[in-house]
Amino acid sequence: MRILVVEDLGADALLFREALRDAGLAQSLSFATDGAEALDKLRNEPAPDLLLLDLDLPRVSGREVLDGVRRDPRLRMLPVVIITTSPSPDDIHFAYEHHANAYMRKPNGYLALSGVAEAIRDFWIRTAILPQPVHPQARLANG
Amino acid sequence: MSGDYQHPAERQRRRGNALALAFLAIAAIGLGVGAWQLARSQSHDRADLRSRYSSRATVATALIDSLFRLAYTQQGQQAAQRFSGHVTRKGLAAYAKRNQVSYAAVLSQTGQLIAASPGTPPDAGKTVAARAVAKGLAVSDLLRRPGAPVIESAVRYPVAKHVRILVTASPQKVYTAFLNGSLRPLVPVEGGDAYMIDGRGMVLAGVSANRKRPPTPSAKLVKGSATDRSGFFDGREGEQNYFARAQQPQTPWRIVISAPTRSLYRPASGVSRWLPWVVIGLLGAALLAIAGLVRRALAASGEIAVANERLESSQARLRETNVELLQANTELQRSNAELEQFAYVASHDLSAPLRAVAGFSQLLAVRYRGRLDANADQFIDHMQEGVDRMQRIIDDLLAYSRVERTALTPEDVELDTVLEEVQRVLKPEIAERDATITSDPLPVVRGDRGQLAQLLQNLVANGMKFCAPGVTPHVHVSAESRGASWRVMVTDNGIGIDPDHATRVFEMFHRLHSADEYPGTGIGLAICKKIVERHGGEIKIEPGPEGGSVVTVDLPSGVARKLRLEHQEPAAT
Repeated sequence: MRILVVEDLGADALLFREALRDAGLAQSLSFATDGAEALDKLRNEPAPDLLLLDLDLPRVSGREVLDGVRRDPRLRMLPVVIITTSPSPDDIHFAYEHHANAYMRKPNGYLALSGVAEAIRDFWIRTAILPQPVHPQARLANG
Repeated sequence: MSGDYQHPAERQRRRGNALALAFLAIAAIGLGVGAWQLARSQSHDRADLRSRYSSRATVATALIDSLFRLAYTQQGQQAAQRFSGHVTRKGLAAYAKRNQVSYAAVLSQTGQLIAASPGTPPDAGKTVAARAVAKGLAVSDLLRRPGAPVIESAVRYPVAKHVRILVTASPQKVYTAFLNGSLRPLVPVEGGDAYMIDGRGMVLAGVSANRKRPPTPSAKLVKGSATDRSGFFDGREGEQNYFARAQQPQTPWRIVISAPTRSLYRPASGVSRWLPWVVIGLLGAALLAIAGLVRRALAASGEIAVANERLESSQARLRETNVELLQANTELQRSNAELEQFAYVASHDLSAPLRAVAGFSQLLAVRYRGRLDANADQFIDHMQEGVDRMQRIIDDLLAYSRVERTALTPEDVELDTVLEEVQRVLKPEIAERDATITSDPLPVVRGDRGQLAQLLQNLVANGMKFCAPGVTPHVHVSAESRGASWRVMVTDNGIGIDPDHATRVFEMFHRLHSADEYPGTGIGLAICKKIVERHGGEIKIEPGPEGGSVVTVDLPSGVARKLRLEHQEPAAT
């Protein structure tokens, strides 16, 4: 299992990483600190099984990343979980309209964050059956 | 300010005064000249009238003189025929009888009596003979004679190489009748009189314009010297009179005519005399008025100039005020924008570092509790409390700013439903404190559902919170219609409120108790006040009737226009 976490804030990213590690997901994690890096990794590296995406990102926003993922035939099936601070109905609306698979608010405090990390682990990793990621070369071979 | 600065109004006023004065001066000079000429012409008219009146006397003397000459020339011719040789007493008596004279006498060139009719006084012709020799004709003053006074006349007639004088005497009445007829045309002027007065002041004849008999002439007329040809005298009624005198040739007599100046000047008096003066007076008044008007107009124009100046300056001030208002508006918009910016900063930028602190302090607690010393564990707890408190403050500030920023969406709000929601939200706190929330039937009010919910939530939470230790909190929500408004009351059994602090608790961050006693941010009631104010109502807190405190919220009917107390009589159906 591979999980790509897109989070610009070092502290948030570190806390989230610790929470995910505490949830036992340390081996699967890779990180991107902005939207551009995220898109670059998604397009040029083996696709992850799950994308944890913040919306407020420098340079290329989370919205653009989501839109880019859903427009990419190779990535369009990738499960995307939005984890952000924004309570804005606009953002929530946008996310689901672009077929995000879940929308969560970043909780305050490590315990709550751990709870979120465990919920992700329990549902997406242990319970849900996800599609096989499509390898970049596979697409080239097919194309 | 410079010392010789003159206010524009003052300058205008002075200019107006100067112009008005100049105008008045010129007008006064013009009027004066006119008046002087009028006076001169009127005085000239009077002098003319007088001289015309005087000339009547002269004309009368000439007329009488010519009549005398005619009469006495015939007498002289008769005398030359009849008394050139020997003159007898008898002849003269016949002559006197035929000519109806009192007596007749013939004198020599030297005045010697040659002959005389009977009754001739010895001094006959004494006063007239010499003049008759020189002039050919002479008439005497009134002479007193036995019987009646007479007037003697002497006429010169030639005899051979010398002359003789015929002297005849006629009674006064003969002359009077003749003279009256001659004087009559002299006095056409009303009140005018004419007299013939002899050299000794005796009045020989007199006529009056409007009287049958003339009054006795005044002494001035009788005694005046012949050279005093004209003048004025005061009449009996104090009226001014004019007189003129003319010497009657060949006699010591003189004609005196007199008339009241009132009558004499009539052609140059009355309307024709005063009307020009009235016109001049009116002109003067008009000029004064015009000058006044000019002055006032100039002063007014000065005032208008000043008023304009004021108007302009007030307009300038208005423009400045406008600019200031625009600036204030811009300021306000900017401060609103800043508020929104603050809300964003608080919700996003501030919460991110806070989240980090909260996160790592908890991480510390989770990973290292019991592995450091006891102090470290306590420090971590303090850190977490501080973070929690800061989070609440930020959340409350956000809520406060949201009340301000969010547009009200008025709708019918069932307060009963709202209270149920509030109880659901507060369930953890209610459970924690084992509190009781009760309510009377509540009305449907018109307002912003979210804000009214927040209002009730804050008030109920407040009511539960400020409770003495060991007391189970009880919060009761009730409502009553107060005519034009609804009053919603939240009553608790808490620690109550000091009336002195009743208004201050609605201020932002105002706390009556330490955060350790009763945790809170001091923003909750400020939010309540803001919500009520936005709904046009009033909120206050008072000590409750049975301890505790009661918060009353009055919502005016303008806001709660469609209010109805649906559950007022729940048992009715």
